[in-house]
Amino acid sequence: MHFNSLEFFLFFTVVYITYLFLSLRWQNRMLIAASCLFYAAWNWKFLFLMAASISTDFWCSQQIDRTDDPKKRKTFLLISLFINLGILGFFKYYNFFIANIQGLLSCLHLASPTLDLTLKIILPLGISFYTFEAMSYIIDVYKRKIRPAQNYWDYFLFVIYFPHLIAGPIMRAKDFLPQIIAPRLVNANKYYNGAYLVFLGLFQKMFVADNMAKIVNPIFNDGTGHNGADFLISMYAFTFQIFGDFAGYSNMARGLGAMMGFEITINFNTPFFAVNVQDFWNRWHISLSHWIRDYLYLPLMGGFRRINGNARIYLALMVSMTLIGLWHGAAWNFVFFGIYYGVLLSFYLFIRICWANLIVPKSPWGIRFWFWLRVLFIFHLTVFGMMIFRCHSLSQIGDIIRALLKNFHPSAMNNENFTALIGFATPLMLLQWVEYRTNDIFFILKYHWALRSFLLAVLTYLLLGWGVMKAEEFIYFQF
Amino acid sequence: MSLDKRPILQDILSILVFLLTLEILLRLNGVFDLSYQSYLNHKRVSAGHVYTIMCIGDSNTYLGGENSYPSQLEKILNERTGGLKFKVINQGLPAAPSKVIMDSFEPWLGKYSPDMVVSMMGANDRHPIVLSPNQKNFFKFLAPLRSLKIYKLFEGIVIKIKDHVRSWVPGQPAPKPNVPPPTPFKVVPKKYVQLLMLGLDAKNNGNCDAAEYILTNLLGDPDLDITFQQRVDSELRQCYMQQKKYPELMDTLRFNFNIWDYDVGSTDNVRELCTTGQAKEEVIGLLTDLIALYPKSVALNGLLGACYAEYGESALAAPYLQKIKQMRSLGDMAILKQDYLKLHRILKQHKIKGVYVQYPLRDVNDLKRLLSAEDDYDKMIFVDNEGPFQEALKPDQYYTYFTDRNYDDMGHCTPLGNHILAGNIADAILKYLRINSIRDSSLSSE
Repeated sequence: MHFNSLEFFLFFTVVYITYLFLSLRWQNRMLIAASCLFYAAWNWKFLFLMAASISTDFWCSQQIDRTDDPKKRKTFLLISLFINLGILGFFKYYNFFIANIQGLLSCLHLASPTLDLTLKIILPLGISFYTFEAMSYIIDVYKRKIRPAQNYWDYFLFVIYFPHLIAGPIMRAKDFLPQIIAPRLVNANKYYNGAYLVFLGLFQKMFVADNMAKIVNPIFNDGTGHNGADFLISMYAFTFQIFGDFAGYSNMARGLGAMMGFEITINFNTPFFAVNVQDFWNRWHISLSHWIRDYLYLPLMGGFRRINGNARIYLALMVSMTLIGLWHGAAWNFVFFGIYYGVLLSFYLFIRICWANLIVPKSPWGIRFWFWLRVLFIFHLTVFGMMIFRCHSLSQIGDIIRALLKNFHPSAMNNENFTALIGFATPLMLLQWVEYRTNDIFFILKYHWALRSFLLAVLTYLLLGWGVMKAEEFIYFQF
Repeated sequence: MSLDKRPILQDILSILVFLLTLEILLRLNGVFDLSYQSYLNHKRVSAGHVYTIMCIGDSNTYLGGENSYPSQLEKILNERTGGLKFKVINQGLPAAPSKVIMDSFEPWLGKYSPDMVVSMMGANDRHPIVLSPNQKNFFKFLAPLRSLKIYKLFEGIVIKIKDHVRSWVPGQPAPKPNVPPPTPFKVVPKKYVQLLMLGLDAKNNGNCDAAEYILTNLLGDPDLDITFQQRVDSELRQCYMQQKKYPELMDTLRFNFNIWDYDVGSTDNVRELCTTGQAKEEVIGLLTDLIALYPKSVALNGLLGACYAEYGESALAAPYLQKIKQMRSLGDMAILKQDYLKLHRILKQHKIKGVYVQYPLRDVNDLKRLLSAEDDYDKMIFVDNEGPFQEALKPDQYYTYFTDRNYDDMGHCTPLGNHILAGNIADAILKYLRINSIRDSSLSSE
């Protein structure tokens, strides 16, 4: 059941109307049932896996909270982490590592190349997202930053709540548990804001991402044989596609939550207007980058205490970013995606430390020029990074770079693709620009009513007239 | 921003502004599309190009010679546009189902390189589009809104949703009581083929008794493959028809209808009997018996209705024709849908405009539904022949417009019927081409 499908529309309508008539306790029960149904629509068997993981975490968190014995506390923390990472590792990374180790061994003539130990594993939907939520919860309980959930079903709902279940945003217990326990306020304002977010999400998904996919897929799927100009266009297109796809999903999740009175964390904040790489990661997939910062990067900084100087920052960054890459999937291109950003971030910190305030323009035009130069530069770094993300093999990355450098004929460019790229990206970027300037995603709703109606009609026209009216899968469902 | 304090008037105005903007944008979109098309047409016409239209379809397209609808279409288009030259190519394949048409479609494109393709196909399919329900639009009171673009937009969405909802229902109970299981292809033993040839020879030489003897003996063989048996049966029935041996004829018809209520050969035989006014009691008796067995068969009910009408008993025909109208379901038009999608995609790829024509007296929405999942659905040209024919039929007799009842309450067109058909298609084409501006340019260039 995708958010942009008719089935989901009916499902949500029923859930929402029921929700409005229930008391808090029954609201929560109903949401658990609805979420289970939502997940079971994909595969009911993995519901038990999730329930097992939730139960372990709840039990461990209770045990950790109950005692003051550091040894016991640590044991329960490790049990929980071991189980969470074990499940994630098995389902997501087992085949990848086995295949690579086997490849290595057969290279060294230590194993027969015909031996196949890989398994046919289906990746449970949303496993990367809910595992990270559970881990943040248990670590926060261990550090006594939050009190554990007192009621098992409250914690159950925290993990399984359907808007954020499958592709995030990755919620923190600190933010979300209180919203489950306390009564939530639903009013017309929240409803309209939520509905607008859902609409915006649909626009980003169906108008931007799915149309961009039509440019991207034919070129990336058959790999080689294209002109560099074609690759360049589809690289830009993919950058917009993945943004539209994932930000669209996050907006829909936030909107659905808001309609029910929940506040779900923001996941994207106009990332194309980032002025440096660090800024970019504070704007792109925020819930993941902040998770990694809090639960991996900062502890690593503590762990690398013995390393002197800035080397420890670079090392911690490289490890964190590689793991961000690997989080997306068990494939070498994701590892390279992580390394690419690790290098960029380290380099950025390096020049910031060394050449701080070396170039700071004074005049207003100079400031503008400097801003746009940096935005354009970071945007192109993103385009390159997303190319690595999209490639299905390392050799394809090589092919594309070769095509860009050696086989680039702008005259042979596919004009239709170029027109489509400009046509579908411009409305998105205009919205993003105003959102960046006003720092408010709801800016359209705050205009004069006539202008607001006009703009909403324009967006509706673009969505219905030009959007792709099929429930295409979201890219982040595979992670 | 408190919504509770906001006056209702403002809300209403907001909605009006919203709808108005949407309507204007959709219209601008249409104007832009049309101007682009007219620009392309200008280019073609000024280069002395003859605008070529290829009509593909079945016997409904093919039949009629000078009076066929493609020929009449050419006449109408050239008459109405004066200076412009249209060439219409008739590519109708009699008795061809959509698949056969689509299989040979691409070579035709290469041969004629048309600027536009008009298609009217699906009548000979396993689940023919002409058997589709003749539903009345429940929302008729919305008719004045139909000229609005937003109405069209939302109509398209509703059709898509309906289409989607239909896909939830696993395997709709199609009205086919007794479809034979797909028999694996068997090599027919040589002796059977020889016997059949012998029988055919006898029949062709006018010796029907001998043919009957040979073929009945052949049918007696218990090892006979069922498809081969049906082949022999159909030859045998022709003998019976010639000799007016109605009881025997009814037996083989019964046998074949029992295997498959859509059996084409048997249906043709029955139709022939009806139209020539023969064997009234036997035919009606047979069909009534069969309908008692298979009350849900659309084909049988329709056939009986058509036969009553042919025998001149329109009072008895009416309930059956009414019944199938209710019973007819879209069924599984998957193949036709595939073919229409294929046609549409080929045309799109070659940048040729497609015009999709629905058969007379059939609901154009059934045709629309086949293509509704496409992205450019709202830019497609559909031609509705339900309304115009219904209007024309009222004062006149059925046979003024149709030569037969091949599709129960509709058949092949007479020249006059084809004229209505061609007129409707011409209207749609001229509207699309925005012909006035083309005419102006071509006149000035002459």
